[in-house]
Amino acid sequence: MKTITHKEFGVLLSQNSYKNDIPSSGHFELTPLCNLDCKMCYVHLQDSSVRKKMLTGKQWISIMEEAVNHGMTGVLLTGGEALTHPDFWMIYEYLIQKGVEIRLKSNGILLNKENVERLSKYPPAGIDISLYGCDSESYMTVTGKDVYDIVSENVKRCIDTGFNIRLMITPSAYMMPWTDRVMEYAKSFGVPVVVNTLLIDAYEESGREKADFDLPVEELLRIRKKSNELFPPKYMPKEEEERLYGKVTKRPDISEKGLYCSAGRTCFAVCWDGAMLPCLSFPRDIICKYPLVDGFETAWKQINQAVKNYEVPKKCHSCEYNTKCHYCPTQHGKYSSNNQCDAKVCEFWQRLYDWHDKLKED
Amino acid sequence: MKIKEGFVLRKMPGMNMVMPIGENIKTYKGSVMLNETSAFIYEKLVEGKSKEEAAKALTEEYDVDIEKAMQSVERTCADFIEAGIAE
Repeated sequence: MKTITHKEFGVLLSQNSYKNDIPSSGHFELTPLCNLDCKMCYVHLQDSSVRKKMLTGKQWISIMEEAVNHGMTGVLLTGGEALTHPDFWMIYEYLIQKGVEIRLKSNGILLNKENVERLSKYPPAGIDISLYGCDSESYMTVTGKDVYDIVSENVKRCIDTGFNIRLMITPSAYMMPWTDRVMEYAKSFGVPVVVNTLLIDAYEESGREKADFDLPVEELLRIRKKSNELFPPKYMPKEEEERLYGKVTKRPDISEKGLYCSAGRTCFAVCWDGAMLPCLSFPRDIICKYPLVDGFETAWKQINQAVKNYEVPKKCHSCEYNTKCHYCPTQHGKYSSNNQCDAKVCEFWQRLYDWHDKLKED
Repeated sequence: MKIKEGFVLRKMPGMNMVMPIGENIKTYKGSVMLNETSAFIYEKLVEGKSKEEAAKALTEEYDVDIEKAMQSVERTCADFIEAGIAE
């Protein structure tokens, strides 16, 4: 009998799913509601009618059951704050009993003693905890609540319990005075840290505008450089990459049709209102289906086809960066509905690639 | 010979996997990938069939004689025990 590593297994699973159009990974935005009020959150909705539109635990489970029957082996549970969904534990324990690998995304407030004890009975594969500050003042400014001490204590609790933790940082205009300190604070925990440097458009109903919290390209690049210093990326040796990935999952050359990433190919997302998309925040006017109405299989097939048939902007075909750049409709937001590029996003990536190339030369 | 509790067989095109479930995910790290024949034998054992019954079922499903089927079941069961999913 041959034993392979988790990584090798993941690659095999991914390649098999890609080849056979299997929705092996599902992202579930269980609720748009949250116990914080982050000014840059793209999801956060406060309208009281939201509660009536939210899916119940039974509805989530009926979607998940279909997804499992179609090959789903891993999920991300997110929100809003996923732990605030009234049926969170029903959903969580259902997935555990189905052998589904769970990754949980949380702001950390509810990772208290009681919930951590309950999670440790059936540990998730990982927990992504968002850090929004490095002290009370920054937390108040970004999230509207001083939960610095609570989150810090809970992050330590999760690490001490032995959970596989990642700290997530999403810099925005609101975090700007503290961004470097937040990254340094995250580093002090000694666990992996992910710094997101591109923000996405907020839900229309949230009443928020990305322009209000977005950062200038210069600042985004500065943050990216700083995060690379603090958290040096670990590159896989070329031979290992060749051995693991072979030619199958290598990024294909730019083609007339089709997106390159796993969204809609091996992954799908279901938003709080039951809408299925290739990934969370994927522009709904490109494709959006409702598995509770259309049935999971039909919804998935249409999502999968839409991604395969999506035409990347014509401009990309002659762009000198097209062997490196990966056109992402989510990043290009409203422009992607017309198969266009957001010039700011292009500028960011072009400058980032130039910087990377220079780094390699040096 | 029986399959231990705390596992589930997940079948999908091109891949069959035995994954830990419930409290077993704390102790069993990893998954077991099975080929089509092993998955068939696994399912028979889960149904409570003996090795002999599993071998007989193999001959009914595939073009194989009982002797070869029995060898296949023995080999697969040894792998299941080594992988910690059967006892």
